[in-house]
Amino acid sequence: MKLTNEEKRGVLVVRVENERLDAHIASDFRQAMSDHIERGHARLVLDLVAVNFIDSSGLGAIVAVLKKLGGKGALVISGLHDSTLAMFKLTRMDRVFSLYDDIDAAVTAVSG
Amino acid sequence: MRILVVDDTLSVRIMLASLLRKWGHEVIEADDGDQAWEIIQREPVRFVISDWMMPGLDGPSLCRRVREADFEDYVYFILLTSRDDESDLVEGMNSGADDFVTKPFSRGELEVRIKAGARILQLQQNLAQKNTELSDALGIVRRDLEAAARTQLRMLPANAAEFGPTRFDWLFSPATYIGGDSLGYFPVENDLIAFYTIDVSGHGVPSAMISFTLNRFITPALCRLAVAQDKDGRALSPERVVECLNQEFMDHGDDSFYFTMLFGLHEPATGLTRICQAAHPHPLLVSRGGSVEELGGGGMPVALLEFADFDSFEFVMQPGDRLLMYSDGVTESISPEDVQYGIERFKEFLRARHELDTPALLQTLRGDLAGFRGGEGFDDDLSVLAMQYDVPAA
Repeated sequence: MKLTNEEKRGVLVVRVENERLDAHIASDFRQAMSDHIERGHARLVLDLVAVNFIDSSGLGAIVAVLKKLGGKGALVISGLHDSTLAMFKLTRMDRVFSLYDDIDAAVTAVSG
Repeated sequence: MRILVVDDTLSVRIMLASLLRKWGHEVIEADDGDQAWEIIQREPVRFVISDWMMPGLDGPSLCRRVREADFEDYVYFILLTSRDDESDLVEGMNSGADDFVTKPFSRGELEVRIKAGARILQLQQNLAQKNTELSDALGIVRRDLEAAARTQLRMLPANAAEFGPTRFDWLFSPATYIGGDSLGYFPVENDLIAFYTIDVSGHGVPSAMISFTLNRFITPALCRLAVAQDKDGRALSPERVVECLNQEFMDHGDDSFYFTMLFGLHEPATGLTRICQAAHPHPLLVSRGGSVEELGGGGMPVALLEFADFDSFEFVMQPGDRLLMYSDGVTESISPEDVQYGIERFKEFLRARHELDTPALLQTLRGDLAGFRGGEGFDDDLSVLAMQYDVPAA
């Protein structure tokens, strides 16, 4: 699994560099995101522009990160493609997460 | 330790044997390679000290024969050489000898070399024992899983079940022995059938345990939650059953646990069907003419979010219609070239094969997926439930 992190205006932007966010990396991904939250990051953008497939384990991991935040802070998502957006729509996660086309729009929305 | 001493020179043999006995070993003696070979085949010998040059079978040839025989227990082999010649050493090692002692040897050197050999044999024996324990344990796990797989299959309803004009068939194939997919159908009350397909996230034993529990939990009594009778007739709300499951199973796993499902109610008399889609792939409606339509507007997974709300959609099945409800193991099958089977290929398959009867269609699908994947083994659990309305006369 490869994640790259960048801080922009007080927001932590985490980009998943793998093409597949699936069972193979879901647990590592979840752990890495939890570590960020435990280090005090509460406003997060998850950039999925490099990801073209999310399976059920990947989706479970993203929601687990949201639960970890426990309502304090924000987790939004940027860079979904048609295929990954379809997954969010099928599971109605488009109603749970705010979705943005790109990182800048996401950071602006979260940096408040 | 039992040590076989092989030397054609009597004086050397006697000297070696008495030394070894003094160090507490049991000694068997052989005059030459041929006699040694007979002994090794006849009785358990795990340590051999052999001279190099002997009439008939010489030391390296004896060693080679022992290696080729590949006895169950490893035989540690020390060759005695009369000179430190590099070409001898290479030949000796090629024959499979473990160590060399140059004649004339010092007692101290011989003693430590025998101890080194004994250590290696002990390690080998420990390893062999661990291996046996592991393979015994693996055998138990495998037998348990196979038994669990049979139980899981027995929990599924009878294939080709008919309720008036409505018939159910299914395809079920767990990735490992058992999996987190499940499906079922049964009458709830007069002229009302409940049906469902479930895909518990993850696979293997943890998913299967939840899947077993769910199967037991979804009963006709629970399904009556979805039925309201008033003066205008019967109102169906399958989402009420899913809401109940959402609350009930919220804490059954870790924070990333959930399952997807389709839960539906169907009236055989009218073809009226109402389904709650909870993050499960869109069911496909295949008409008698072969058109394929994706139904449903999606919905949240079950047991993932406390505040999830669920809804349902309704349609009326026409004679010859078939509704295919599948888990994502179908469309997420991957070819050796890393291509996904995908929904479009699945729909095309159904259009092309719509004239097959349902059992043949499901078997053909299984074959098509195996061909696409380049093998019978699947990465994910795979299940398809087919509901056919107005079964055509055979």
